[in-house]
Amino acid sequence: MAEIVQFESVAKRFGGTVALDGVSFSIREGEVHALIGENGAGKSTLMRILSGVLPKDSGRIFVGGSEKVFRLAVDAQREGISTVYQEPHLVPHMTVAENVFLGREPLKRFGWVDFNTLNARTQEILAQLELTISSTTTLADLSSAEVQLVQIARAIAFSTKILILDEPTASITGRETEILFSLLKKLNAKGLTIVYVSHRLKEIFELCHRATVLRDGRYVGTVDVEKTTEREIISMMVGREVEETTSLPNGRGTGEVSLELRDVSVSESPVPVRNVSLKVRKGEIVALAGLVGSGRSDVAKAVFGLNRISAGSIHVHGTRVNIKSPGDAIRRGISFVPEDRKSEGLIPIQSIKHNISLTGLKLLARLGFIRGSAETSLARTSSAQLSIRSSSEEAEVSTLSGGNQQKVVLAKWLWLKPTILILDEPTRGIDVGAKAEIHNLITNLAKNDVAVLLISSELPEVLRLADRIYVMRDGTITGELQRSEASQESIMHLAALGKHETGAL
Amino acid sequence: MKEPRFGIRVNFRVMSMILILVVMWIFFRLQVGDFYFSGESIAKLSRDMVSWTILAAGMTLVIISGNIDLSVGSLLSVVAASAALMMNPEYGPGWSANVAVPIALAIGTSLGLLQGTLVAYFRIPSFIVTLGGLFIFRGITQKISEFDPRVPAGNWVVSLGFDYVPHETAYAMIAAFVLLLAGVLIISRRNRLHMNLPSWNIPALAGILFIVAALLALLVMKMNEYKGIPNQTVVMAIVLITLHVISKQTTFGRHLYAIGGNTEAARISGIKVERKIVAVFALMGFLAGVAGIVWMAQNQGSTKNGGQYYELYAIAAAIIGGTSLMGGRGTIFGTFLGGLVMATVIQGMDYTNLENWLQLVVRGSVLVLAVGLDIMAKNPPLWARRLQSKVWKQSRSAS
Repeated sequence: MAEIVQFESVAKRFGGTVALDGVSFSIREGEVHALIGENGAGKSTLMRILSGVLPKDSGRIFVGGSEKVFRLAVDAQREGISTVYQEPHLVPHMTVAENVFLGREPLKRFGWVDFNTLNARTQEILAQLELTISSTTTLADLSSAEVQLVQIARAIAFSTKILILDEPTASITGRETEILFSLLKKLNAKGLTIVYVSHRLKEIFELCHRATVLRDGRYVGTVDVEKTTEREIISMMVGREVEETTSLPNGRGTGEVSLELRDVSVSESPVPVRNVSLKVRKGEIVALAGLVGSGRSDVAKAVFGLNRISAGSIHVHGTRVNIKSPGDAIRRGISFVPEDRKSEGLIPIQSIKHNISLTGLKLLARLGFIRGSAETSLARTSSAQLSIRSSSEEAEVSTLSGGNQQKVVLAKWLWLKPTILILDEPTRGIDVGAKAEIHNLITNLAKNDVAVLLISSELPEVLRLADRIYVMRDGTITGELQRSEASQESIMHLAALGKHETGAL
Repeated sequence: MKEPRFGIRVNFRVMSMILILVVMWIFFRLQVGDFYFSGESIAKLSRDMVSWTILAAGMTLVIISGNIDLSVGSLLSVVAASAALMMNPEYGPGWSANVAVPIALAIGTSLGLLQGTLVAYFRIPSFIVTLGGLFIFRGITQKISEFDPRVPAGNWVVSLGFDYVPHETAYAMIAAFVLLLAGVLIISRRNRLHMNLPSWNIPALAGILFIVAALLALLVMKMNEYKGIPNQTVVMAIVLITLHVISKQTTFGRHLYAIGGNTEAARISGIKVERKIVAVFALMGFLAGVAGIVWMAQNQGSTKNGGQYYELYAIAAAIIGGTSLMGGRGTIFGTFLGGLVMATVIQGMDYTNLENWLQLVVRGSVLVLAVGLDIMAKNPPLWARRLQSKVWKQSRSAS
């Protein structure tokens, strides 16, 4: 097969951070080529360069045999390269057809949009893809998976030869993934070259022909998916064998109760919480499992003073407390790592140092004046402990990869030496390596007597870490499982149906 | 990576503003002649920028917190008018400045506090609250200033507007300032190097200190040839230095940056967001009060239209100085340079006898140009990148 795209020592840096360091490999015409690596490995950067969104610093890119310099996204589109981004780049309140033809609308005389042609041609494209979406539906009425499919329709509507997909399954369910994959396979069979960026290995084995692994901005290697194993790819990604978290000794968590909720209700939160009672003991990891929208985060926010509780009581180390603000919670030794690091966890335009110190600036200040050296050494120690990779602690957080950003969020809460730690999706959107590090960290905190309340949608994570599991559904706790009796099936039963497998609650 | 020439990378914005200033000074010197660099001209420049540069400094903190205050011009005039009325024996009680000034400052502070409360606790956007304030306070000023009250001579407040620092004191002040600056720079360099952080290298540090010291000495010498440093210029310097320290070194300042950078993250980090917003508006109100007192002293009384458009000068100075209207970014030093740019343009045009309408056009153009160029340099829009690539291709094919 001919090589359709060739990268020749492509390099890119952001400020002091090296994002790509002399990457060379090629993509063959008509293949599904996976691009994998941990967060921060440079996958997205490379794809943004290929689609003309980012300029490269040096190196060369050949498309169809001749060198191309893309300064704008349209330059790449002209060469037949289309990209579907992780977050939809579409207009929610316009129709499917308007979105598919956005910026390229067929026109009638005097510049009027020809809506008949617009809708008819969109319907054709949708039919070609065997999709049952109507071209006149408003985008906001579609599910996130359907929006993905519309993005693909938009991408292939115009003589596309190479389709780049950047983590397309991040926000869709397993069933929807199947539909997406069968569509991609069909398109590929018709000769479309697909570059598939992901760090979900299963998908790569299902869909892709070859896989290229990047690590720390460097090219590690390209393998034939048929001839390789998950284990080999993981060790290429991480650069070492992944150490499994040491299994926790059983029978811990018999000590004093650090955090207790008694019949707590929250009426003002997005998902109203009803009569939640739970206990977290010293040195115990307790998971709060459940589907998205089951009220898990609302419970956490109530404990942290972000939601006011309407009934019930919260007890910290045996005394009833009235936590009215995050400040109150922090003073009582509670730390909270929120779900969404970009909107709740970090101040992206500030440095690592300033982000870490923010939670306890008063502790670093004398008479209201911040002691710069204390702040810097704090950032140093934290960065070292959590192995945050960056050019310096004065690097802007927005320039870091997702995994490193998450470590900064953890750092800003851990240096306060909390006795109670609430983690809301601590490893969402994070690569294998960083995930293992964070799991080890959580385990070690528990060993050091911190009471951990872990909210997670990932059942393997819950099963690996938790001593006990509470399962929530519709704002209330539907069951409690011991480590020994918990399995993916038993948790899902409680989360989806609200009852134990045996039928009795 | 290559070691930067000065030990750390120099802020592009600051350098370009200094360059713009120097170019303008040379230009006006050529236009105006000897008088432009005379002590009198310099003293006048520094005096004229005082009231709205004080506003601009407060405005910088307000904008950093993600808000805006459009009412400061009117607020300045309310304070000026009420102070003048309180001191005027004819229409008012004729109190001494010792009574009237604190009360007037308290009025400014509480009006700021009130606006801050509406913004923080009632969730009314600051743009709306302070736009309302702009009209309301102007209305109140017109009532208080009905008779254009004058401040009786012989009050210490008046000396704020008209007197000068004694020559020896002026030298002592700049000597103290340079020593302080040297101390701060050397200690911070030592601390940063101790932590293995990049810092100014010795030649750059010495260079900065030398330039600052020489410049200040020259300025004071020039101004002393005339009458000396105006008292109000000293007030401005104190305000700027204090706010600089507040913004960089205190928890309050850091909290403002955090709130402007990401309010939700700041709240979750335990910052009492509402209280800080109220505080920054109260501080703005107090500074509008200080600016109002200075303005009143300059004018020996108040008028109905005092301080009109000053909110826009203040915002312009802050923005030219690199403060981001999105919040979370900005420095007091930048705002000072921005204020200097504005003052230079205004004064220079006065000297060249440009007609009033044209002066307004130029002022506006300077704002758009200064900010526009900076944005273009940092993040060029599509057409500029296209143009750049065309030029680049041509130059490559030519060579």
